[in-house]
Amino acid sequence: MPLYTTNAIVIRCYPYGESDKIVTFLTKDFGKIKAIAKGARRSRRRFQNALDLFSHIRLIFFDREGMGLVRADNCDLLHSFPRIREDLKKILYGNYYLELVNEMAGEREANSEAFDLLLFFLSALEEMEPQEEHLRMFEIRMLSLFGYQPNVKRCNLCKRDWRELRETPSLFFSLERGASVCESCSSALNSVIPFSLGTARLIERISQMDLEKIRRFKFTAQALSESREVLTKFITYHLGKELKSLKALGTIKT
Amino acid sequence: MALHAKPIDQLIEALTKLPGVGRKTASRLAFHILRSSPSEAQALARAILDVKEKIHLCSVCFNLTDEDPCRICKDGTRSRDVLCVVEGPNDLIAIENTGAFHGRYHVLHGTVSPLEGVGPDDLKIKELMERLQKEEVGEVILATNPTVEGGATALYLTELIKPLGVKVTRIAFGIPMGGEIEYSDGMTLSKALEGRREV
Repeated sequence: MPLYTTNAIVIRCYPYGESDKIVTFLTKDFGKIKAIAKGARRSRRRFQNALDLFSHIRLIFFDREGMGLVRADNCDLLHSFPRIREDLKKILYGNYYLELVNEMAGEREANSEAFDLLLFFLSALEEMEPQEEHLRMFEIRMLSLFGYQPNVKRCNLCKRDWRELRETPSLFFSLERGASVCESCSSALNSVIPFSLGTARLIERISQMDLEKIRRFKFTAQALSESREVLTKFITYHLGKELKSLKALGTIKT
Repeated sequence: MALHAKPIDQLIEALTKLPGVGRKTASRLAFHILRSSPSEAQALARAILDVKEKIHLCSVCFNLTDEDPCRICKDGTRSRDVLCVVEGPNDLIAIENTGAFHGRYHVLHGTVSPLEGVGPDDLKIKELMERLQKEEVGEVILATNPTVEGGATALYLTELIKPLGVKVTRIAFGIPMGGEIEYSDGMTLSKALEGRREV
């Protein structure tokens, strides 16, 4: 059985049997992989208690072609994000990052940019106070990476661009098309959400922005509320379900 | 075509439903039961039925019990001042086995787990808060596991309980007895250093 080594982040884990764990990793080189870690609940040496959510590790695993689950052999903990684990709000934010990646990434589809993006946002969460802007920015960048970037440059139906749209009183986002439409075209579509031109520009800007600039970027109250509405509904529409951690963010008061 | 007589096959089939029991093990267990005396087989069957019929949750601490309140809640010699909050009945048993804790318990039956869709309303948290309002509790020990979910549950409970003026403590984390510093991970070591005490 071939042996592989890669950097990985634990995005889901749960106990299996007496002493094993089933762990889902987002890896730098192999995309999302699901592994069985034999004896992980008892072995302190092979896995160093590192197979917990958020752990950034150096993973060694066996993979037999055609098998669904790989077998985790051992790992070294690179970073456990202790400050996320000590703050309930940060845990809730972090869980949302993990669940969104888990739902969007296909198994064994290498995407090192998605790995870097998750690591970047977890590091920001570790170092800074949780900010709702970061949730929205993570959504925008993840959607772009997996080919679902909201197309908000012009009306998706009549093709008029922002300069022309400026004269129209309002703009709408079509969940079905994943794109903006002008007011007159919106009547022909179902599932549209009103949003402003400013928010459309913001979404476009963030999808192109240098990651380091993202850290301190602030939204206006209107942009925050509109982007929340548009992005979470668009993600729910695409995945065909509401993410459990998103619900938890709304219901668990911190 | 069935290889065994129908009753043996049925027993094997039933045993394979147990966690960690494959067909081979189930077959060995079935033949062991077949060779045992009728009274032993009846005792086993009775014990299985008793567990299903007699075990329920204690109305006070929500531990598994065959009497209500459970033996621990009824025990007048145990301190009523300290309440230890655990995730599940197995954790309660592990703490009881130490013989080091003489207070009472509250079993949550899970942890807050946003990824699994388990929220505070799915646990015995409302019941814990009602207990704290009714009973004279001076200290609550949060003995949830040192995992992300266990930590989230402890943080959530701390925010709920502290405003009641009750002391909230968390079990200590660090190097296990017989463990070696060299092989400990950084997080465990830093927790051990944080929780050091004067000797």
